[in-house]
Amino acid sequence: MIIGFILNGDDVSARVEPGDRLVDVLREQFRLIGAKAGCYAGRCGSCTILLDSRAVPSCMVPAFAARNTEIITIEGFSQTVDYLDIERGFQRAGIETCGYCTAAKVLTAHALLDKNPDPDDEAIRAALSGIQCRCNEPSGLVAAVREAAVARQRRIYGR
Amino acid sequence: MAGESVFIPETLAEFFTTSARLPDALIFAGGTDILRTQAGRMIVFPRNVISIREIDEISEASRTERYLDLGAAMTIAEVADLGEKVVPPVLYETLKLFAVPGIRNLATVGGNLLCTERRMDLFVPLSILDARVEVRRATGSRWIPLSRLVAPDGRIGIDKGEIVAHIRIPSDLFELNLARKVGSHHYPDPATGVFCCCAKTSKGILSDFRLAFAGERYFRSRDIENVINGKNLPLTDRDVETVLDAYREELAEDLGPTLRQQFVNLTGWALSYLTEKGYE
Repeated sequence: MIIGFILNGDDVSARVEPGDRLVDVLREQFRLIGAKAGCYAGRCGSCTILLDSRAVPSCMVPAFAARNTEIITIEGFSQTVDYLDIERGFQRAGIETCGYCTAAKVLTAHALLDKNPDPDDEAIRAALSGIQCRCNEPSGLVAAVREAAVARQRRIYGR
Repeated sequence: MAGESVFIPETLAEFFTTSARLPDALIFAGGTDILRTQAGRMIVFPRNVISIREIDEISEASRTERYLDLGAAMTIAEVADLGEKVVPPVLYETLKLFAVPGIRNLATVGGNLLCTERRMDLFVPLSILDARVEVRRATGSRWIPLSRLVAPDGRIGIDKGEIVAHIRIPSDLFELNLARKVGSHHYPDPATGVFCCCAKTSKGILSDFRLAFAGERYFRSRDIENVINGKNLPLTDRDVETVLDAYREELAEDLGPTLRQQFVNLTGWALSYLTEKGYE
């Protein structure tokens, strides 16, 4: 079947089989390899994308379910001004970027700040709990998201 | 994968037309329960799949003074986003314990309730809140208690050509609302269980006490609840022990030893809120 959706701001279409997972369609048909195909069971979180502004593991989405949705991958998000806030926060907190999970952490942090501009530590930990990569300490990630929140508020409100 | 077909109706009328033509089709909502058990690259579906993700009629919530109606295709995150002032506290607490945020953004209320292998997270708070379920068919609809939606042996209480459309939760106010999860918070396994308790008081009397637990088995005893309903508050240590003994006895065959002890511990914890000391 052919499905249409918005991918990183562009109207696109893809020919998919019922059994295709969205992560594989993004990686193979669109060459967007920032979402990593890890566990195929929604456990590792490394395939996280934004589906209609919500962070979801794309291995848990059959490709047909992407019809009429808006998808943002790390490749699209990294072209936005919102990305700079997250990047700044991660740099200030000294977060190591591991290449496997960083895209998921960045997109998840953005989804959280989009909904809750000033999250507390518990909310940050809860939001990142679905990403299993252990290349950074949880406390460092919490600090990074808090820094990103500050950077975003400074940019938007000038404070 | 050849031969599989996916149908994506946008209205309930289209759904009924399609399901009449394909009575054995798999009805796909969030899909998390289907996909989490398939770690292969390709998802294996039955020959025909009907995706209900785009049916707006069952994807929205509505609220009156007497009840909150949840669309069965609403995701867990969408229900949580209604906020703690709208969602009954015991349900709201359970939503916060549900898997990880990414899965909450995909899993649906109806899909969670219709899991046949075990009673999943939402079944427990919704059952003690006396929720009812609207089952639609092409020619009309019927409301059934949640307990009749899935039988203890896993049989689903809806027929082919029917669909769970809404879940109706009465707007009762409970003073005590508790929810806890044991075992893995993220993925269901034999050691996972959800415990919920809520209670109403009136003029110094415990007027309505409800408590349930579910993992691989669902457990609620109205008989034991009635033992404690009507007691003066605060409860005495003897009241608490009587109830705990009753649960120990009742649960002897229903749950394994670990889950049984966890259930009894959680029950003691819940009851401690109603004693003179309160929860310490």
